[in-house]
Amino acid sequence: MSAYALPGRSDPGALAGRGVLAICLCLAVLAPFFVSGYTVFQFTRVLCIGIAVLSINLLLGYSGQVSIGHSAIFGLGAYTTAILIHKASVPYGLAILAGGALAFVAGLLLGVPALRIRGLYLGLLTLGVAVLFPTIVSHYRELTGGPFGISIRTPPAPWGIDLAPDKWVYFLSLATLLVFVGGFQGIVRGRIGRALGALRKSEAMAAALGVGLARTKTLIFAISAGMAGIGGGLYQLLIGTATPTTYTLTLSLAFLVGSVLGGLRSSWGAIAGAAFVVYVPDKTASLGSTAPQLVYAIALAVVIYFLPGGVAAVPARLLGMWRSKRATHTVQLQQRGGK
Amino acid sequence: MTLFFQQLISGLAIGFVYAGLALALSVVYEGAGVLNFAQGEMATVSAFLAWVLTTRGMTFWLAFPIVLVISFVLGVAVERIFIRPLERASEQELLMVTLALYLGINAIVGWSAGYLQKTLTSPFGSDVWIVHGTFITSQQVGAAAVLVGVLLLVGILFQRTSIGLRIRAAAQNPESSRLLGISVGWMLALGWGIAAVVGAAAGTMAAPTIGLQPDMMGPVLLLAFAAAALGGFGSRVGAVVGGLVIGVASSLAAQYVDLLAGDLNQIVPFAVILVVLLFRPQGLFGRASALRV
Amino acid sequence: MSALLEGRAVTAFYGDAPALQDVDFEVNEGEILAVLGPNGAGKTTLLRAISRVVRTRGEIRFRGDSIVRLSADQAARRGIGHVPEGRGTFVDLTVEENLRLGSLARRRADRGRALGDLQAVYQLFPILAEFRGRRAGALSGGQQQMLAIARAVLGRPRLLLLDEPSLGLGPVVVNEVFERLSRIREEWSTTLVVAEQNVRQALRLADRALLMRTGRVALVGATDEVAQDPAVQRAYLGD
Repeated sequence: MSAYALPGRSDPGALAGRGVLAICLCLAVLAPFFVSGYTVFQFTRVLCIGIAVLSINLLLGYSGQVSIGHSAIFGLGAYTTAILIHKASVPYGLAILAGGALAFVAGLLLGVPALRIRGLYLGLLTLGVAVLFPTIVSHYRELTGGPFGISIRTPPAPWGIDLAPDKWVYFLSLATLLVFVGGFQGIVRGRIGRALGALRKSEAMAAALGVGLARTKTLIFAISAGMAGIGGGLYQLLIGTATPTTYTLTLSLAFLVGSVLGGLRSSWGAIAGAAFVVYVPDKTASLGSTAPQLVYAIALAVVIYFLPGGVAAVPARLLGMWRSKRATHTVQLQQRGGK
Repeated sequence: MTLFFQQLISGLAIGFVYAGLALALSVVYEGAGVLNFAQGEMATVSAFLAWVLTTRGMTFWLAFPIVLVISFVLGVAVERIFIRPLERASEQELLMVTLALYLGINAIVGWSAGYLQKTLTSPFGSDVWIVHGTFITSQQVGAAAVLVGVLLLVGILFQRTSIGLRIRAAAQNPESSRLLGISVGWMLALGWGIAAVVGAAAGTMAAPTIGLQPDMMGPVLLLAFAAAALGGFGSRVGAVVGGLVIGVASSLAAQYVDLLAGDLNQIVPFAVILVVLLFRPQGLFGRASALRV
Repeated sequence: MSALLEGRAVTAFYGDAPALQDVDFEVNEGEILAVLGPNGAGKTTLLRAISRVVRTRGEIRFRGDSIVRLSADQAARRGIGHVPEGRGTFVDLTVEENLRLGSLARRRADRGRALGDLQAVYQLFPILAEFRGRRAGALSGGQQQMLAIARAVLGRPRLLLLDEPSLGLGPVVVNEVFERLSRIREEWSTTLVVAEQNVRQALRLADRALLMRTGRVALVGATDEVAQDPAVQRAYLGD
């Protein structure tokens, strides 16, 4: 049973799920007012990276395309936002959207070659993009500030709302993430998602669908890129200073780890995965400089071998086990009573 | 003109290293259908092993075969432990596992060896010869000779021995192979072992030149990817030719194209991959049938 | 005479759908058994059950020993050869390499005869000798079929399974193939099980026939008996 099938309304599992969701949302809205500024910062990081991980879930979980280059797309959104604000005084909302649009186009460009070839080449292309992005950005220093990057201020809340800038960015990110989650679920449950689901199960069907399918995959790539670009723009607002070393291959791999860990096809899993990615370096850095990387590697392996579906699948599994126990019990009752 | 030959020579010398790693990638790709992102890190481990043995007093020419044997065993072990459980998994999951291996091995090497660059003394001495105005070092010649030897031996293994034939068969058509009594799983494991040996040779021969530190094979891996793409994934001959071409091309590009002289030299392998992708995805020697969308 | 191969209550599934249901069969040493039936009747699955490519419930005994726990490659090493549907030649290897792989499958005791056997195979299929250095994929369908049979025969199997050897081949070539199969039984002391849609050829070649329908055995007996069964006549031999 898919972790994402919509259970019947009377199903207690579903009610519990929705209840948990409502509680989490309330907590998310209230949290910034009760925790330290640094925690708000970390939470916002989780949200922005969560957007990037969600974009990977869409791309990898649903259309089966591996991108090792989303760090560059994330960075493209970030740098576009920074440059537009810093050099052209563009309002930050527009700047972020512009970053997303540019990322969308980049996604189309990367996705088009994918029409003709195996995923292998897409992996290599995206790898190239991830590796080259910091180098190219560093190189063109007049535009990008080179290795020192560009600094922008975290913007204050608009319309005189009485909210500190860090909390404003938090809510802006939260709202954006929720919009994207809605969009994600819309795509996934709609025609496209069902077509992609059928494709996952049968390659013969995929071959028959041919070109139309390839165009869909490119579109998904572009959408995924656009999402990541907007996430990058928000991230830029959050951290203030964009430098090339923030957006390296390691970040791409972190997105992938977060995606697999949280559950490749889960929208909420993306947040869990992002939280892991954000908090692990802090908690493990004391064990050694390469400890976070090792933890990523082990976590990735553990999920692949033992927990397909990631963290998001755990509730469904437990639910499944509970349900099958109930079913067995019911059958036993029937057998005893039915004579 | 001598500058041209100089770049040509140094490009060829490093090209053999790319060829070796590309061959390793090709062998694994033919068998498992996956691009092993950890191939470079496995070679790094081998190079560090050689360093450990030689700095403890062992002569290089005793250490080298020992390192090759250990690398073979490690390659087989990686396949049996990490790849075999995923027999029925998707391409993407396999790729994720090689990424996890890349991250993990790199982290472990970094943690145990530290990031201070070490030196693996060249077993070929430090002579420099001048031929027609071009400088050639004994390390370049020696390393190239060793790598050519390794590549030839692997070629003979695959083309002229029964075991090589079985490995090729298992890679090309596992179902039919089983019906002929071939243990496909073990053939795949042997393939990984052979790939690890070739990678070990490449890493150990490269270490004296490129320096021994945990991230040493990162850039080499990227160029090996380009070499394998150019030659055609799954083609052993293609990997070797591709490696040499990429070596020379990178070297010449760095010399003659200002833009690509410095840090932007990294563009070269990816430009090659893009061109191959757009104009001849199966590479120079690959089979079009090997490509499926 | 105890049978070379025996199966009792063999059941196999593809996913949730049963492909073989409670099938019993016997193959005697030295005979040729034809397995007949329409598409989807379970002929291929039966052969794959014997060569252990598919997992089954029930019992299968080969030369007295149970083989249900064996993997496909283990079964092959015990002496069960299988020419699969679609031939399964290694298209990117040469004809010679394909044959050599067949030879490598033989038991240790037979290793000494390998060279002589190769010559015998080239005599049986002269076209293979002519094309020995060529890439197997360059051969025609009929030639690849001969290659697949030759390859399997070189393993000196006690039992040779053939899945639809006539598939996609013209009548002249089919005649040649079946003529060779008859000689193989004589010259190589191999027991044959041939799954076929070409009922005429199969009944001409075989000693006994087994007719399958929707995963079950509908009829089994000597070929003349089976040939005279009215259902068989209607479905396959009539016009």
